[in-house]
Amino acid sequence: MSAALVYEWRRITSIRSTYVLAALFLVATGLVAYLVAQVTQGSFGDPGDGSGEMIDSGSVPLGVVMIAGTNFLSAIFVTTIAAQSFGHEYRYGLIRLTLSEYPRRWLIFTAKLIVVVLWVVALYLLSMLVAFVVVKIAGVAIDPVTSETWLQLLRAGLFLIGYSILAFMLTLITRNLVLGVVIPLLLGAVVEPLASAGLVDRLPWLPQYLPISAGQTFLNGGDDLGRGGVVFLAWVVGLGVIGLVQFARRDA
Amino acid sequence: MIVDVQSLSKTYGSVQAVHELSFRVSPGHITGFLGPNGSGKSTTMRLMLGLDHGTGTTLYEGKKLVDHRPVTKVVGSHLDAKFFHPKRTARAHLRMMGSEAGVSRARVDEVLELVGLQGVADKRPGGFSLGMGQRLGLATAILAEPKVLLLDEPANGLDPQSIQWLRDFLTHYAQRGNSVLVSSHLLSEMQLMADHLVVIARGRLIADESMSQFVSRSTKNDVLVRSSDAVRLATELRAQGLGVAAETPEALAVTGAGTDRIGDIAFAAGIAVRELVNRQASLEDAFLELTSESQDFAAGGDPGAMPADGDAR
Ligand SMILES: Nc1ncnc2c1ncn2[C@@H]1O[C@H](COP(=O)(O)OP(=O)(O)O)[C@@H](O)[C@H]1O
Ligand SMILES: [Mg+2]
Repeated sequence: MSAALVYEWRRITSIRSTYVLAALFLVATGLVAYLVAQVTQGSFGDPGDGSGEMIDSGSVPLGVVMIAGTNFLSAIFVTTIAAQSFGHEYRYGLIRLTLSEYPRRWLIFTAKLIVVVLWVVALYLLSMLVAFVVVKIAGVAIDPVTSETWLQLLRAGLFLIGYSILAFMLTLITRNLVLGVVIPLLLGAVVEPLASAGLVDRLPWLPQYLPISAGQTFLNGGDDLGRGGVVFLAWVVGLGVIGLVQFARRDA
Repeated sequence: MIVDVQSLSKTYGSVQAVHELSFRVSPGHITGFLGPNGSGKSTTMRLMLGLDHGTGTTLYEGKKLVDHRPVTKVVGSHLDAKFFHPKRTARAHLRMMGSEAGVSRARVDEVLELVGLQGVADKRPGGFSLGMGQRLGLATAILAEPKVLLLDEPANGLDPQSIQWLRDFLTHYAQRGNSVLVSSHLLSEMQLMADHLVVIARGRLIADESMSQFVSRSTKNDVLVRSSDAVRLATELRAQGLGVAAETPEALAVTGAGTDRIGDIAFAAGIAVRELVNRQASLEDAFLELTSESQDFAAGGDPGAMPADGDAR
């Protein structure tokens, strides 16, 4: 396994686009953090004194700013890195070299997944740092950090990991980098909102079971945090199983 | 290391690409894997590497490839001159490919120099010519010094000097006790490179024998005799039971005997001989004869004349 990890690490770090995409993600999250901080500042907030009265606190909630960049739009840069794991191999025929070297396919599959998740986690942590620094530089006051803030950050990180794995698996299943990146994006931005709106009368429960919608419910920490998370996880695991089975069975 | 290919078969939809193919690749010499385009050479190599799933098995010294470790010290393969990321430098590509066997940086440099890519080691291969791509592919294959080399049309796109270099390199590689299987649809190329031949057509084995055996099968192995009295000489030779065909009014193509016997017959008959030459059939001749016996290649035309880049993958 360690050799496969080295292989995958060398693969991902020897392509400039990995760094370009990582930089774009950080810039995008920094930018969104700045905008959110500007917009949120000066709006009315709950002073948290239990009075229920809304006053202008002049400060912004840290969690909201930090995870603002982790929406499914700016996450595209991270999911592209994830999709390139298999996407580049299929586009350039490298998969045949890779599998001649690692004929036990589940091994290279696992190594790729591990390395991708490591990158996503590292980029997420960096993006929070960037958002924090941006807010500081902008001179915006931050609300005190609560356990709810940490929970929000954790949910956002898990969403980003799950969302990246969706792109990773869709690329593996379709053997097409562009499809792997675009399908989740289209689902989140177009298909799911339209389906939910269009079928709201006949299938009011539908949005809860759509992958990106469920993921976002989980991300936003809506009241059904449990269900959103479970549905999202089920999609990720389901596609993962389909991806691995296909990968193991089909011709390279 | 002996490679035992045992009844490999592979069907793509309705196309039977490889059918019950068995042969052996032995160490010490180059085995040529010959067949026209679309005959199943590439498919066979992918089956041997476990890339495509078919039926049959390939054993490397009695064991399947997945049961060997490191795999890249057992088999090095070069299937296509374009299997690299256009933006990953040649050096980084080889560093990555050397991970399984733990290949050192020094070895990467050594291999780059060996294939003549040291000057472009840190360049992106997207702009490489076909020949340079072949060199990078070969470098990848030999990186971990495998005991078996599987090379699919490695001479494609190489200039004559490079082909000569490749031939010398592979000959030495094989002589060090390694097994080398090289495919080609270019018969002239094979004739220069291989000692042993595995010939397939339409996914089926046609011949598995030494190059000289294969070539000697052709009826085009004959003796050219030139004489001022060709007509009388022809009568004399036919009387001895030899096959005679007139090529020009002066020259005869004789089969069934060597130059010594033909010379003796002419001498005994008192006929002056001006030229007496053994002619060997080219691989082209042998190949065309053999395949036209069992298959119809009419649609494909002359396999030797097919364009180098017309190869179906
Ligand atoms: N991936 C594939 N899908 C469908 N047909 C294929 C595939 N690969 C090869 N074939 C078919 O199998 C036959 C053998 O092809 P191939 O092994 O590439 O021959 P060669 O390498 O000798 O030119 C051809 O008819 C080819 O069209
Ligand atoms: Mg081929």
